Amino acid sequence: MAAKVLVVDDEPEAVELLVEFLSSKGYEVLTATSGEEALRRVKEDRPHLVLLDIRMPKMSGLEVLRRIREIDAEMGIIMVTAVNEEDVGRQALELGAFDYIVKPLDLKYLERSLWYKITTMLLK
Amino acid sequence: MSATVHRYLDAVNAAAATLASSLDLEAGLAGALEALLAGTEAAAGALWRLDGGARDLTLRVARGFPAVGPPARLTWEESLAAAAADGQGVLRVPDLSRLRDPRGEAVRRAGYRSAACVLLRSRGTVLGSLEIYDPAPGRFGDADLQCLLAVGHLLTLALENAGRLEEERRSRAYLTALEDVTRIGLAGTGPEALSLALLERMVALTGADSGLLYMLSPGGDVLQGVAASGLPPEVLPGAVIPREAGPFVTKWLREGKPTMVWDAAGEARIPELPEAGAGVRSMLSVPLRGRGGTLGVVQVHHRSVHTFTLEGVSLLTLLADRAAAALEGARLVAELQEARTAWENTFHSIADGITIQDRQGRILRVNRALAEAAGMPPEALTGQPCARVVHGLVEGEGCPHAWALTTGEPFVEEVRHPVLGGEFRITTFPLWDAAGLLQGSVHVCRNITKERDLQERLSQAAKLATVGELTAGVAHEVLNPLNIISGRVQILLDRPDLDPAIAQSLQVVTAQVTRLSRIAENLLAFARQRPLRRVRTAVNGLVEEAVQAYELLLTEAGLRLERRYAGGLPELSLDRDQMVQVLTNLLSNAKDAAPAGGAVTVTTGLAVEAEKRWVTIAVADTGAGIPEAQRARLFTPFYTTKEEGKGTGLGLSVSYGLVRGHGGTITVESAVGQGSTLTVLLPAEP
Repeated sequence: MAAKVLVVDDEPEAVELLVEFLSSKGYEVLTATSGEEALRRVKEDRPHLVLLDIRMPKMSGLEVLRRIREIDAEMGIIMVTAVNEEDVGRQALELGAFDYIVKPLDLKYLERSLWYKITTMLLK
Repeated sequence: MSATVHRYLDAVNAAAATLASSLDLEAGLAGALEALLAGTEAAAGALWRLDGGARDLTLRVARGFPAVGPPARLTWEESLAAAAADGQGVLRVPDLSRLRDPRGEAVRRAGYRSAACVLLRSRGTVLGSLEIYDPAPGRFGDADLQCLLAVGHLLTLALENAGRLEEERRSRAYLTALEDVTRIGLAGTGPEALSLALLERMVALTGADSGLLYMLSPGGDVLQGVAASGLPPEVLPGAVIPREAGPFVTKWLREGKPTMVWDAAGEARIPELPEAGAGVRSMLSVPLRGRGGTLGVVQVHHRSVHTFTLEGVSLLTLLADRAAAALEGARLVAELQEARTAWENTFHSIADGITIQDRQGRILRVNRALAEAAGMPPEALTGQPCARVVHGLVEGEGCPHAWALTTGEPFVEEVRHPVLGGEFRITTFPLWDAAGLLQGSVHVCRNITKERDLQERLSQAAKLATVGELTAGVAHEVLNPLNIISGRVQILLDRPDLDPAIAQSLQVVTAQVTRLSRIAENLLAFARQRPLRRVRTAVNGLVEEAVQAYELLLTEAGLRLERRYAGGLPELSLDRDQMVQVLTNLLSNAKDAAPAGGAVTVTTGLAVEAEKRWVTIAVADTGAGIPEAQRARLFTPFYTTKEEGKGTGLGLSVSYGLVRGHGGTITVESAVGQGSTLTVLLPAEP
């Protein structure tokens, strides 16, 4: 069974990039281009991991993170942001994200981080 | 004609002649009396004078009396004249010893039995009486009486004439006195000298022994002596009369009326007399009445008992009125002078340049500030057209003076001034006179160069803040597409079948993307502002933290790292993250500046500058140094000396901003060819 990763970003090109990359690495990739859609996917598809963009219209990534934690306390969440803001990073980690990655993404690092999280989850 | 008649006629002729020829009235009167005695063959005679309005007779001339003589003064009741007035103005007493009457008693006591008397009357007023006496009873006949009447008539005329002359003389003296006082008033001396001169003149003109001049204090509660004449010098300081001193003061100040003390000898000290005025017996005080009310009081004193006559009082009153006018004038002049000085001081103390011009725009006055700004003496500016001086314009053209005169409204403009140098806000006010007519204009020129600079700097700061926000937005928008480009390139590079030539091109793309994203991140760092999170920090520990993190990079670049930390530095309250960022930036600059084989030295220490203690952290390199011209721009955002692609020009300006946020500063020392030292100074005490 491939690990399910939900990619959340309001920019379709950014979503596509990750879909292509993660698929090539053997992940099952789900997508959402808004916070609401992401929450729906989380409830319906129960992904192992969420790659969550912070700066999105209507519902910010941090808000989505908070709500996901209400649904599932264990789900692995990596925050992705274009703007590195210390406060936001700290807040995200406090809310239970396990990584905070700054764009432009180092895809190799992203893959390592994903792999690390998923193996630790599977080992539990 | 009988010998008697001849004798009478001779006597009257002689009397008339002597009266006419005598320059002196007394001599004339005496001569006439002697002629009368010769004509009537009387043993003695006297001319008594009745003082105007008085009820006493005074002896004017007497002849033929023995040593005892008649008294110098008689009351009307004990005079023969009173008896004569009861009749037709002529009286003959054959035997005084038979008279049952006090009238004539004085003459009888002198040893005379016969007496004759004629009243000297002028237009119904009794001037006096002419009398002849003889020791024998029944001595005077009708002819003697005729002679007495004729000489009496002559004397009446002479006295009338003398009265007119006296009156004339007196009025001439008044005029002279008034002129005198007026002249002193016009001399324009100071108030003190003036009051003394006036007082001395009044004392002299009234024939007094001494005098004092009091002025009402500004509060109006005391009369203060300001001048003394004929009195010892210690009198003046003690000459203070409180308003409530007595009825006299009320009389002077409330009613504006004079007061008299006829004889102070028997009385207790008069409060209106100063302590040292003990020798004064009689005193006349006259208020100094000015147009604006009573100014003060003038007193004249006599050391002996003195009868103040109506004339005396009115003379001093007249003089006092003149003196008051003079003193009031002097006071007005002094006040005007003071007002003028006050206005001039104000005018010249105002730091803004001011010019006042007439309707034609010719400068009438300039204040000191304007003359100094123009670098010319005020005299050189007055008379010039204001357009040239104030606006540096060709005459008249576009001068707000014309605008102010046409519209009656003030005009404000801000200009770079060609004459005064700098930015000026020039306000032109129309100048109105009391009647509401336009007199000209006033220019107020304020140097706003500094204000303008500040404004510019503020708007620069505002611009930077806006730039900051924009920058954050732009950076975000740039980073997202960069992310996609970078991601795509990474995916491509991941392909196992990749053409090496394409791979090489993609590496270039990656490098450029990295460069772009670093620019965006630096922009963000520049734009970002957050409140400080201060923590008590050991400076050396913090420095070491930053140095350790960077040590590897320095070593890789072939540089030697030297640490020179001072002991005993105080702990500082710092935002550690920001300080690490600053130090990393300084180390990064040092690394870029120093050539391989060089050294980077990090020094900490304490310094005293601008009377404050500072903790210093210096990072020195052995690079090429920074030329003087570039040093000033070192902290300017986006300024960089690094080659293309190596720096954004934001590192130092951000660092500077962060250090400033801690109340510190960064200084630069550099010697071209030897290297640079950038020193962070942080306040040792909060």
